Amino acid sequence: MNMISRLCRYTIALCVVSLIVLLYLGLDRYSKTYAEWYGMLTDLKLASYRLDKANSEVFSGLRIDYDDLTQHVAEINAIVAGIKSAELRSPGGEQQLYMPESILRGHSQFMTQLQALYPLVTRRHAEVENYKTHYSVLRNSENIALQLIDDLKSTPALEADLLQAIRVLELNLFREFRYSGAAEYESTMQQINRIQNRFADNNAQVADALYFIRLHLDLIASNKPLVESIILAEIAFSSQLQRVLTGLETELKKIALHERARSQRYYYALGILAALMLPLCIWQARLLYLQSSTIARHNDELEALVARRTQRLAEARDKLEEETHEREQLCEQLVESEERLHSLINSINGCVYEYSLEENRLTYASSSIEGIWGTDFEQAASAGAGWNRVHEEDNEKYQQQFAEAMLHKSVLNTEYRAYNSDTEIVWLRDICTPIGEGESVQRVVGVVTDVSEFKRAGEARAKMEDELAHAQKLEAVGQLAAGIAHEINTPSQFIADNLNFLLESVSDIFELVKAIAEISKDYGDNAVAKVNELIDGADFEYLSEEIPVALQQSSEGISRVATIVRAMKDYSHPGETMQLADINAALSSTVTVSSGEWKYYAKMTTDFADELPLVECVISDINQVILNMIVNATHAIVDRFEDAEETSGLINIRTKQRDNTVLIEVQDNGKGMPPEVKARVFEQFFTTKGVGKGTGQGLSIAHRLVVDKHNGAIEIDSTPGEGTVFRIVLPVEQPRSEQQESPDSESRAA
Amino acid sequence: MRLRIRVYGALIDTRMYQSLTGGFMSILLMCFYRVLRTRAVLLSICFFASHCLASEPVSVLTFIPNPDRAEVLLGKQLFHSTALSADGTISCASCHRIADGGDDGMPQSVGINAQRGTVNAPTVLNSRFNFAQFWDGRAASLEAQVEGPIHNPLEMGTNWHDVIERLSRDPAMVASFAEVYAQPISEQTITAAIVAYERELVTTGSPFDRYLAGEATAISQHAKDGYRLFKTMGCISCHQGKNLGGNMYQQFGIVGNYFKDRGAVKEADYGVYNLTGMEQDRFKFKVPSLRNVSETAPYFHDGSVQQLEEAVRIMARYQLGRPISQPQVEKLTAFLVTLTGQVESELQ
Repeated sequence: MNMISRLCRYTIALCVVSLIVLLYLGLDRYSKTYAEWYGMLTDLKLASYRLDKANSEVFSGLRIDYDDLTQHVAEINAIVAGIKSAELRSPGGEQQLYMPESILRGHSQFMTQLQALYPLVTRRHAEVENYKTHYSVLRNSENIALQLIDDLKSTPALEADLLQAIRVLELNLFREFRYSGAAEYESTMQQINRIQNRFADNNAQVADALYFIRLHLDLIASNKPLVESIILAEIAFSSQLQRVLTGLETELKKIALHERARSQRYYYALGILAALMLPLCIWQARLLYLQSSTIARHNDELEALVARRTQRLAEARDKLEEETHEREQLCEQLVESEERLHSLINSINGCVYEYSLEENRLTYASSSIEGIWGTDFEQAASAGAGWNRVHEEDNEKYQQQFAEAMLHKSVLNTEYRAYNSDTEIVWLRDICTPIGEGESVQRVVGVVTDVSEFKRAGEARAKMEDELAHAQKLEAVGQLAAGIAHEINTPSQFIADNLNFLLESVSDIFELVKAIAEISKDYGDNAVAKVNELIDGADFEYLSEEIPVALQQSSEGISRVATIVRAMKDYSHPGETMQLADINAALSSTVTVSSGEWKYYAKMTTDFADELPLVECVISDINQVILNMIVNATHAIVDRFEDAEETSGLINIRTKQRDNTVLIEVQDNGKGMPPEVKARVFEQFFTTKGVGKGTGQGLSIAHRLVVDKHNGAIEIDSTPGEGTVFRIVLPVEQPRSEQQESPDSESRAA
Repeated sequence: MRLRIRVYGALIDTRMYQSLTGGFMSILLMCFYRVLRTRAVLLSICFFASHCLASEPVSVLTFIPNPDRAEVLLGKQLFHSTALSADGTISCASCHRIADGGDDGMPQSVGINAQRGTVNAPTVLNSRFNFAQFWDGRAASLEAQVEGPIHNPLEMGTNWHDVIERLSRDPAMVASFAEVYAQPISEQTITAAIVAYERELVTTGSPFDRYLAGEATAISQHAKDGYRLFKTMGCISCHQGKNLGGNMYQQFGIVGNYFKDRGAVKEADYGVYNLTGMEQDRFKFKVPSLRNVSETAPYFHDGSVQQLEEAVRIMARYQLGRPISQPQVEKLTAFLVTLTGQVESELQ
């Protein structure tokens, strides 16, 4: 296959070389020269024709001047000079690379013929010159002869005979002009001689004219044949020139045809060779195409493969980049979040830690460890189990709770005291979660917060709240003071009045007694009358009636004052500790103490249960709560019946026992309250009363006292426009343990 | 047919061609010949008539100036250079004074060593329109003419080699040549430059040319009469064309023997015969142009006549063979004077 292919290629190369050689041999190299020659010959022909035309124009008298003739002759001369110089350039004149014998022969023939052209042209030129010379003379002579005759004819007073003779001469001349034969010349001459003989002797003018006419006649006679022969010769030369030119053209054409035939033969050979070559070329081309297409396919495949690989690589790279980017981002986020976490952890008011149970040491602690324990992480870590420096008093409890949490794997939430420094103690809250697989716990993660401040704040707050409650109590007392003062004032008033009356009465009595005594001394027997008179005058009867009454009244007033004072005393029981107390008695004293508040607005009814157990409570707190209830009820009633003529306010206070609790109900028929007010009624500083009338403290304190302090409950049942029922539920016994353990934490938790 | 037309043509020509009446006459003739109903005759008459109307035997002198002004000016420089003569005394302009009618006003010019020439120096003006140069037309072109005076022992008496050597010695001349031609100073370049100059020496704007161009008042009535006489008396037969001559040879003394009357016949009087050796060419000379003829005295090849009127009379006597009156001579002379034009002033 390869061998054949190579052979084929060599053959093709050989063919191509042969083609080029044939192409060169077959090249019609002289066509341009032929065209040039042909052009020149044609030009010469045309110039010759033009010369003929100019000649005939001049000859026919259409043109007087010879400029055209001269010009065309010059033209012909120029063309001939061109032809002469072209002879050197022609194929015969210059040796070419390849010149077939036949062509050379044709050229030499052409050149031979060409040589015949030059003498013809030269002779023609000479003839033209001759023609110009002779024709000038001829036409002048004809012209002048006629003019002379005309002059003669126009001579004044011409003889008739002479005129006739001259006319004959003129006719003769015309005939002579036309036919220019010897006979005409003779007859004209004879006529001239005749005229001369007859008239010239005595007429000098005629003789002169005849002399000139004869001269011109001779000139005509000599020039006319010359001119005519020249004309004929010119025509002959012209046609000869045309013939030669045509012959030359034919020769030229023959050579050109010959040349073309030769080149055509080469081209045929060329065509045949090309036709032979074609299948070879096609076969070779197909082979090449196949090869190239295979290569191209391989190439394409390879390219595709490379492209795929590249793409995959690019994708992988992109992905990697993306991942890297993501990772970086993640890293950044991580770092960021870690930082955030760190800052968060470090900024929170507490120490986050991790404690390993297996190693029994602290494995992590946030930086705030120092603020809490006054030690850094390393110290705490090396401290082992006692890292958190629990106060001795709380340690036992803490250990117990911790162990329990570990056991149940539950979240430990505890508070304990710990040493901040060697001497300073802080309250810490420790919330930790045990972490581990299955039952066992490997480590504990938690957060320790310094709650000392909170603790202290809680204590302060509790204290403040107590103070607030106390202040409210005092406020209530103050509020009551007016009423109480009135209550006390009224009996005091009439006691004072009674005392004044008694004082006057007693002085009256003493005067009476003194008078009686004097009378008895002075009057003796008359005394009795006098005494009676005095007694009558002193209105003793009236006194005896009134003094006991006054005394009675005063006694009652005093007892009333005493009751109030006792109630006051009961109400403002100074005890702050839980004691068993009689609720009914407490309620009674409160009602009494507060009577000044409600007395003028409402009717108070009490409905106390008889067998009410003593309740463990701080009775002064309960008194305060009930007082608040009564005051509120009064206000509600006042609000409702403000515009009414007479008050129909009702306040009912009931006590009941329910299981282990005592229920106190304070009912009124006041204006009641809407649900939105009801919902907020226990909020501190919430009030519906006008500015200055209420501080919004009462019920919130009541709620705190009952619910928080006494583990009881307060319920409200209210219908707007109809009234409100406050229910206070108090447990008979307070839960003891908690009460003992941490009353502060209780109140805080609430 | 041709002959017949010629005859009628001659008849009509001689009588009519000087005026437009010829046109009307030809139309009349046409009507007359319609009787014959010969198409060929009709056609020939039409042909003739059109020519009769259009053809004037003399035409205005026109030429296309050479665009290469530097070449013309170099030619002028050479034309006035005495380096072209053997002893450095003679230049072309010595005998052809451009401002003075293109000749030197002497019967025969003086060459080197005070030698007298054989013929009168013809004018160089309008020589480009001559069909051949020299009185005997031995140079077919101006190019061929240039070396004539240079080689003529009576005139410049030198050769190309010496001329080139002498010119090459002049740096200004060398520079001028270098400006115009790529080739160095040579026979060809010298000839080309001189010919370029001579070809520009055309006398345009003569009164007669202006008259021909339509300016009716350019010449006097006297001159107009002279022109008519010039045509009718037969002068026009040889002195025709735009150059009024210079396009043919003619024998001097057609009607009489001029040379016998003049006497002292020299070889130079043989004219063309000296070239061809043919008896028919004896006393034959180139018909000179009549342009600027009033400036180119003395007249004829021998410079034998100083007065133009005398020359006219001799022409009538020996060439036309007819009596001529003094008024006719004066009119003809008046016409001939209007043929004087001007060469461009820069070239004078």
